[in-house]
Amino acid sequence: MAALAGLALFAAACGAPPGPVGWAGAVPVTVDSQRLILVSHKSRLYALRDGSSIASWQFPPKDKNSYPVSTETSEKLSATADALSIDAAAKAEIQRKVKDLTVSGPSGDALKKAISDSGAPDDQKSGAKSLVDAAVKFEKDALGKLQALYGDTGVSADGRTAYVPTFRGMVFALDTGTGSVRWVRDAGAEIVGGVAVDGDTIYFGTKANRLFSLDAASGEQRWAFKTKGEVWATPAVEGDTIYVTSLDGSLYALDKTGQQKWVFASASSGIAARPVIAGDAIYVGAFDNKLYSVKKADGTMNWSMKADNWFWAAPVVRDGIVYAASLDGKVYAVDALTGAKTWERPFNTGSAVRAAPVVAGGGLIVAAKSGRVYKLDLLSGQPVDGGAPVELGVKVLANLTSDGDKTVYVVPSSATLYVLDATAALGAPGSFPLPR
Amino acid sequence: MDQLFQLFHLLLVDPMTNVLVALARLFGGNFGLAIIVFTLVMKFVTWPLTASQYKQSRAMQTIQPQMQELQKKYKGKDPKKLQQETMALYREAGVNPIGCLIPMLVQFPIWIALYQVINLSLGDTPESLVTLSGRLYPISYVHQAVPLNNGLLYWNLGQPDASYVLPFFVAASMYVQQKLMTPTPAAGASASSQQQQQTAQMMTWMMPLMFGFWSLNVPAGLALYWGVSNVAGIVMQYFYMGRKVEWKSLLRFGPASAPAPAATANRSEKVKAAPKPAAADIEVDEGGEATMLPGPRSTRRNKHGRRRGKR
Repeated sequence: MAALAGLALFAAACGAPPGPVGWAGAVPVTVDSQRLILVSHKSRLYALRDGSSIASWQFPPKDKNSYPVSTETSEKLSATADALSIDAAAKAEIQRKVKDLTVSGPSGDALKKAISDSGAPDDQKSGAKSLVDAAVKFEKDALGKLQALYGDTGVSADGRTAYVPTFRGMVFALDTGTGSVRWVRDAGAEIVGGVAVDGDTIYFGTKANRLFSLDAASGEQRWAFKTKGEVWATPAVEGDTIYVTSLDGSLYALDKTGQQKWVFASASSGIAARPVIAGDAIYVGAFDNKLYSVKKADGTMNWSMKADNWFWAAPVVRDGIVYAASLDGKVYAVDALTGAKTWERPFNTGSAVRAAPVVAGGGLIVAAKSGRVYKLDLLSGQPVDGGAPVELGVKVLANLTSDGDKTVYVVPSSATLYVLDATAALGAPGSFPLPR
Repeated sequence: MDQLFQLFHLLLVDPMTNVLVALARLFGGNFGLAIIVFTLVMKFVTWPLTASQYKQSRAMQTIQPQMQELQKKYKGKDPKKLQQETMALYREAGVNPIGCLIPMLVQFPIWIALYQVINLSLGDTPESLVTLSGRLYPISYVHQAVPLNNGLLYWNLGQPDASYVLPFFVAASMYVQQKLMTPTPAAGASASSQQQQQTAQMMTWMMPLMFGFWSLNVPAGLALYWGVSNVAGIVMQYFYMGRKVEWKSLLRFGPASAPAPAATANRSEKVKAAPKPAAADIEVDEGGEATMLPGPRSTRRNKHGRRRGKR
């Protein structure tokens, strides 16, 4: 009986471990002169109209029966229909059904019936129907494989396409105007970092020790670079070089064909922070509690600075000073050239800082895990005007995003977007609950 | 409740987390090896309690005949006297009625803590890593151990083992351990004693099945802990019993030659007539301390009239 009672106790105390929640930061985009803020919560992405809780669209949609298949699939099926040896009327009927094809619901069967009734040779009909089945199944499965969104969404230069990495390893290219899928790719492993967009190419890393380069328009893979450890951070791109960090403790520099230029491997633990490029150096924090400055030219170390816990947040570099927040809850300011401390003492938020800070309104905006948001004076490291922090009362792990120099978006673990006016000392934030 | 949770973390989860992370670093970042070493250390540390559990359960069995006699004598007539005599019997035999539970109770918090440590250290979510950073002591050695290798052979120790190998290993090893701890009911034992021992026999099945089932649902790291702990327990028991273990008893699935349960009306006669329960491998010494002994069974009694085992 004691054993049974103990097992009951064990069962009560050992519930299922918490699943992934996600911490993707907000991304402002302008599409057709409309300002949208892409905000994620758990496995959903919302395109909120600026200054409101109204979503222009959400992804994935609530009703998959009316959600069209990706543009890529639609075009592929359309081309297949064109290639069938059938008359124009039958082709037009199939094209109509292709246009109406959704990721779920009866439209797939309707399309297959149209193909069956088209009078095409049996082998063509069979091939076309198999293609429909495979495409619909892949896209339906893909929508069910979001799980959580961690990596910051990448947006094309024209603002028309958002590249959304998901924890379950799918990358979606979304039309920012409608939220429909342009293409979707399965990276084969979880994605924690974000997508870096560089012209017609996107880059992202996976937990399967890979950095991928994809054609932004078609989603076709250009190359994949193998690292020694998992890639958890968004790559950084400047000029003809891609910089990516890995949990193997390295910072890799690659050219745009995927060839390694150099590797910085001096960190004695993993690196999950996004590298930040400024001037001739790259700044990156690691799990060995150190912030490193690395020469952009050859990957040799300029200096390192030690904190009391890991660095996970990407640092900010402004006017020759590197501002870096650590999971020890402190914010450090060091000279970008020498690594010498520029503040008298680091500012202590009292809670771990995972979210990358931003500079806005002449101050450094920092959000601690506890939900306290501070605006610090860039020179002294003290709260601006002695102001008290903004208390959101909810966990914040997502990177902060500045929109211009005035507005800062904070995405907490609750389904709300907070908007801070950074022009003066921080006041009460605008609060925009996400649609249910 | 929240304070209790924090205290539990402060006293158990956090130290265990740091020890395991440090061990993992010692073994090249391999958390599986860290769990194995940790299990062996825990087994060693809790051995006095486990040995006490063996002694207590055996001693309880040896005094069953006397208990039955007391029941017969006082039950329904003088409950107060029955209680006094029972307690006196316990004292005399050195039995603490809840003594058997202590090792079990000590292990439950460890299991719960280990479950949380594994979820924390090997959790597949980035959030678990953020939480882990806050649990590590400010020691460079443990801070730099991350990321941890959650693999051992083909298992992901942070996830349940879907291959059924570890659950089977846990169930099988626990069955062996339980079987070694629970003597097979002797032929001719009283009906009441038979019933008790049948219950004990049932537990030798129930516990492995339950732990096997649990192992399907908890992270493989915890199942590894259970399995290694069981094997270590078997080995220690083997040496504790003087390397004389009746391995054939593992294949005995019940009271091999026990008579059919007697009718209630005949029970008292059976108690009188039946040989004493199979406690030949137990010796209750002069101080009332029960000790497991190897060797053939005996019906020799000590000076208090209790039966003694013979080496």
